[in-house]
Amino acid sequence: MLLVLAFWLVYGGGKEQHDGEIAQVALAPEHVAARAAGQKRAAPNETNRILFGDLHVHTTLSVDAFMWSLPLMGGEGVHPPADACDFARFCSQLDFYALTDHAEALNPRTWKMSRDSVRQCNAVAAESAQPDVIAFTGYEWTQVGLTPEEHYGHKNVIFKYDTDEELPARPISAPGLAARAFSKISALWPLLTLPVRAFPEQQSYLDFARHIRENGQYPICPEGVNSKELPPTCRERAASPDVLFRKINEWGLDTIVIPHGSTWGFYTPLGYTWDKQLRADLDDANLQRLVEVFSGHGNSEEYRSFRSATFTEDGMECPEPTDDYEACCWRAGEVIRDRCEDPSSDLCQQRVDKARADYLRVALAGHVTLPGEDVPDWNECGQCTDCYLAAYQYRPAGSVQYMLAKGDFENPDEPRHATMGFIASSDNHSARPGTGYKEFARLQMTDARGAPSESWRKSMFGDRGQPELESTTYTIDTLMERPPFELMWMERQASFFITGGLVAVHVAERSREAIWDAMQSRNVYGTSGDRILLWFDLKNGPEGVLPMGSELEFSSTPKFEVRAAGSFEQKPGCPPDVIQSVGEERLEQICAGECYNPGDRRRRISRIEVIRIQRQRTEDEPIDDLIEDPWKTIPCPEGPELCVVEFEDPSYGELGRDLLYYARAIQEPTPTVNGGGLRCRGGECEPCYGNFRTAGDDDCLVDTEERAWSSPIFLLAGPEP
Amino acid sequence: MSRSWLLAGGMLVGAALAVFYIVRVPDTVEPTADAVAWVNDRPISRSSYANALQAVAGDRKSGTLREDDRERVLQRLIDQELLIDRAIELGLPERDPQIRNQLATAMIEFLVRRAEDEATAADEAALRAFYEENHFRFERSPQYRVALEGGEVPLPDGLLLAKELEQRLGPSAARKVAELEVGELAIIGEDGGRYTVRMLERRDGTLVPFNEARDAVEAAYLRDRSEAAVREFLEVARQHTDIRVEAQP
Repeated sequence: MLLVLAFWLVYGGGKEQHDGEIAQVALAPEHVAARAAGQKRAAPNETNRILFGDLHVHTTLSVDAFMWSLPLMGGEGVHPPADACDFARFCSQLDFYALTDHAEALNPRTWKMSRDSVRQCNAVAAESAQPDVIAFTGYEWTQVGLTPEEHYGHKNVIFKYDTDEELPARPISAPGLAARAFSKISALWPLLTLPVRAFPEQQSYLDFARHIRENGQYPICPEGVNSKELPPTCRERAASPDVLFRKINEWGLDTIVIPHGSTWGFYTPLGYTWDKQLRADLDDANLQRLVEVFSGHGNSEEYRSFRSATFTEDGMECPEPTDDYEACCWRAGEVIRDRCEDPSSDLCQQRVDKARADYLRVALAGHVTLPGEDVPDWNECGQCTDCYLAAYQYRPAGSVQYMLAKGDFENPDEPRHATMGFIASSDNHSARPGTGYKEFARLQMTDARGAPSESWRKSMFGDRGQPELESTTYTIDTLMERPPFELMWMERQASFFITGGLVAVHVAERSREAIWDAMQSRNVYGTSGDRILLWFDLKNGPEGVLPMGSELEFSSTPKFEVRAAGSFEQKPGCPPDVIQSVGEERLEQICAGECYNPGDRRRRISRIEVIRIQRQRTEDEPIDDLIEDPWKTIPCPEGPELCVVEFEDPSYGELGRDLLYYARAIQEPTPTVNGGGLRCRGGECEPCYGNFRTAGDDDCLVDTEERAWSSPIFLLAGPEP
Repeated sequence: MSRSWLLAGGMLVGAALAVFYIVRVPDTVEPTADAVAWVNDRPISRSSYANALQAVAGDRKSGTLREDDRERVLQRLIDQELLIDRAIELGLPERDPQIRNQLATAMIEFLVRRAEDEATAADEAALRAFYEENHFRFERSPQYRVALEGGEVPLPDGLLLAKELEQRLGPSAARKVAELEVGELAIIGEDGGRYTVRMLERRDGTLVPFNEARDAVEAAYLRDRSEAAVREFLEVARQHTDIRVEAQP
């Protein structure tokens, strides 16, 4: 009887909801004009400050972040959004950060929680002219399509101010796969059995189930209604970027939209390209001022000509390997070939062909078509093997270089191109902004996670069975009967999670306004995590020196200057003043006792690489010919802390076309968590697992050259004389 | 049925009892005041009935109840009680993962909410004590305006935080500069890399007054107390529960 009453009161009693309020902000008529004005305020950087931040941070309000934090994934438990503030102030010692939880996982209660936590972080510094950390509110529009045509990818939406009057009532989510996973418990049914298995340490799993269930209980907002007029407690959705941009603009708030992870094969369909997102209706240039080049999920900068699948009139085909690249569909065939008694037989070849077709049919979950497969069987398939810390399962036609080179020719007289500055981020999923300050604690400071034992692994990913001679043919329906985690090939991805990058802004003052203006004017750059100082200027602009991010008509020989200083070597532990004020116990709790703690030696910048990209003028112009990477490599002299190089482009006038230039400052090699990816050599791979298969205290350190990417300077040739 | 399952069942009953003691109707409340019906001496509250009616009305196109809706809703609530009775008899809370999830999740939520309620009602003295113990959360950084002569890496204009000095000069030099009084000069570096820094203005760090930081103090206090409440409950529960781990995972 007591149980009945308890059950009824708890389960049947209903939960109080705290609705958000619709902000009644009038659309300012000068809104767009102000944005445009902000774009021109960039100033040369000689006496500017450089502030470092992280504009891509998840907390456990994001369902996938929640999953990472579960003990079953080797996580540490729940990290509420408020932890991000402490981490940014005391551990990574950032100047600014933004919370960008997945909109699909947020609901009115958690959206309010996110807004509140940002305000609380800003509250202490509210009256200060020099806040030590400035927090921004945002969310991630997490779109995933099953086909290249319906896929747009992820975009972070960040707002300038933090008051409810200057924030939208709801985040805008994307319908589709991500939303389904984030709001329907049925899609994650196997998780429901985990609390039973984990008993009595099941709290985290139960929270996870509650979290997903809670997100599913809010109705979808009606369509065709102005975003400001919608009920506060519905879930607002935008299926494509044009709808997202329209809804954002209906609020009339200062907002920036930052596409990210556009090369990540983890969820990006085979054959995807950025092309359609160059269309005017799918690219709001006022909102999309920046693009994320690099994050804790890998690098999306570099373009390559390989493809994971080719498309013909008959459908997808598996491309043959090259010296640098092997598609995973091809590799699937080779794994089956290795299992043949007579690899040269016709029967074996039929099985190989079938394996490739089976792989392509289910694309991102292709690994499940091979019974008994294991991660090392796949070698480095799907990877960009000569790229810097490339994202997992690389999709080069989503790379930033491709985005900037490609044109849209819907109006052939005025080809359209993307004009975006560069940032880098952590994309951290445990409320830890700016994790790249040190290379340590792989399982805490990156998103690498995994099952703690073989039995957990099987319960999450299913039993992979024994190797068989033939691949398994799946339909979408039969595929969906597999454990959901198994379909995501998470075990292989763990080798590609890194500590992530930072965004740096050039600002005249330490303020929210100045940071925002720098982002609007693209006077920003990204780093792979180290605090490299970087300046990139056009020396002979029409009105003098112009900084990175500038876009201008130009007709003479452009002259540039790059200055770069390496990051400081890090000392172990935390600075004494931080330990004294925060306490060792709290520091141990939030950042494993390791803070940003510079020593006096600057690491050396070894060289400056300059990348030149010609903007595509006709639709048939091959992209491969337009991206020159590197166009120039200029070594830095030994000795000075500051590397200063100058160069010019005498061919600019002859080319007579729109061009952009950006600089990459390359630092001396240093050990990097997961710097070796799958660590393949001579056909043998040693993946760095996020689960029990790799020791938790093994950070899988491999030397890499940390770097900084300037935003480009965009030169417009102007009309032909 | 393994021993761990039996143990799990026992734990669940314990957790359910704990939930009851937390959310039970206080003894001082008149037991019949809010009941619309009774099932085995257990009340169906008028507020539950009203909520159910509202939900049914909302489901109707007209937005209003039909003539027989009131009776039907009441009978369905009674049915629900009967079903729950039977579910308990059959041991579904021990067996059904979803029910177990709901129960334990609600437990956590109640712990957090109760702790937050207590913290919200905390008097000024408790908040001030928390503020005093956690000064580091409510401090503003010192600022310095300096002039640099020589040196490779340029210094920004204006008042700078210690971390901004550090970014350009390095930590040792920044510490040295931060100790200068206004007008004093420091010589940094050696030989060819030598440069000077003069302190032009300094503003020492300050603790934000309690009244200014009150919102932040209250938020941090709420968070601290709710986390502690869950942690303390689990610690106590573990102390009073026979937990035996029989196999290494």
